[in-house]
Amino acid sequence: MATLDRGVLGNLVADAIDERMEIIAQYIAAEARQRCPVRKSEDRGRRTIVALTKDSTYMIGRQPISTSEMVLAAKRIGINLKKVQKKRYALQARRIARGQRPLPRNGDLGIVVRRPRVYAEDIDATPRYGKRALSASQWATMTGKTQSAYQKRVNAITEQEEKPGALRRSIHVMNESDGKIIRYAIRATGSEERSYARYVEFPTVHTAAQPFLLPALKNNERRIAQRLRGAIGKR
Amino acid sequence: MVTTVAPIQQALVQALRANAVLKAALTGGIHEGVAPQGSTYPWLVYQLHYAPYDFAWGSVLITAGLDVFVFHTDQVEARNLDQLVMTTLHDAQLAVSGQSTLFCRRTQDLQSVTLDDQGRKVYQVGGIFEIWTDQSLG
Repeated sequence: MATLDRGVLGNLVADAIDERMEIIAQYIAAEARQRCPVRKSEDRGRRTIVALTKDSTYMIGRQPISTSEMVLAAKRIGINLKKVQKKRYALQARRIARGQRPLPRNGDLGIVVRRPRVYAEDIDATPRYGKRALSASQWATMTGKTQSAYQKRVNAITEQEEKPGALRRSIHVMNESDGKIIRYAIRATGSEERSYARYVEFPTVHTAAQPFLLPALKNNERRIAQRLRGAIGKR
Repeated sequence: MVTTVAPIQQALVQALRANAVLKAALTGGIHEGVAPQGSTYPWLVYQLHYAPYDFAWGSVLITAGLDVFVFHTDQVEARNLDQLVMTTLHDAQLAVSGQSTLFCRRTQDLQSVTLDDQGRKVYQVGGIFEIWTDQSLG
């Protein structure tokens, strides 16, 4: 953000400026956090994997399928939704959950799949069938994917758990001063594993820019100069 | 009446389009923010980055920072186009409606390499142009 040479300034003035610059840097970082875009928080809880056949509708998992999902699934496989009773869904689902009906066979299903949305606290990413955890082979049979995809899915879910606001939380002030130079920097990285602030600040092939750091700095340029002049003037 | 940063953006785009060589070279077009899906390389993207207002007695100074980036799959061509953009805009006298242009200069360079949806390597070359304009209040 700014670099000043202590040798030129003299120690008394340098200390005053050092203190003032830290305050300014914190102020600019706070403004950057306000400007930083934040992903919308999603509803908590799991969604279901729903298998829909031409004969009836199943509900697999702990949550019922919504009306809009039923309509979408019915359109995808061409069944008349009016002929299927909601009561029958629940009955079918209970039978499946109790193991009274076999797992749907691979290939004859029109599947409406919702990607599970879980957070860091919800560490159990094991796919479930009712209350029973599915093994890799069972999940592979049900979804038509390979068993290696099972582990990838579990990993993807557990990695997906960043709460919205990771970029905002990563904005911090760093004192990079040494004995000769006064330097403060405001840095934003992203999450601990990935540094992606640059792809938010500037445009990319896929996305437009959502600047937050530079606008915060530019809006306060005059304030920096005034505060530093004030600090020097007092000494 | 105080005008906003919109005339500055318009003036910048007009200056870019006025350069026939640049316009012909940018087969993907000039877009604000992000290029639409299916655009052919190369294309140019511009976007407002910051625009603080500084009010003085009787006038207001706008310091607009605009990102201008060229995207191309060829590294050399991307840099050539960026140089063409630099030649067009650096110290250009932009015709901003309702405002007097004090200067237009490149203040920052930025380059990066990414992959697009088809897995092609895309070179992004450009930077931030800072445009200072002045207009009177009332």
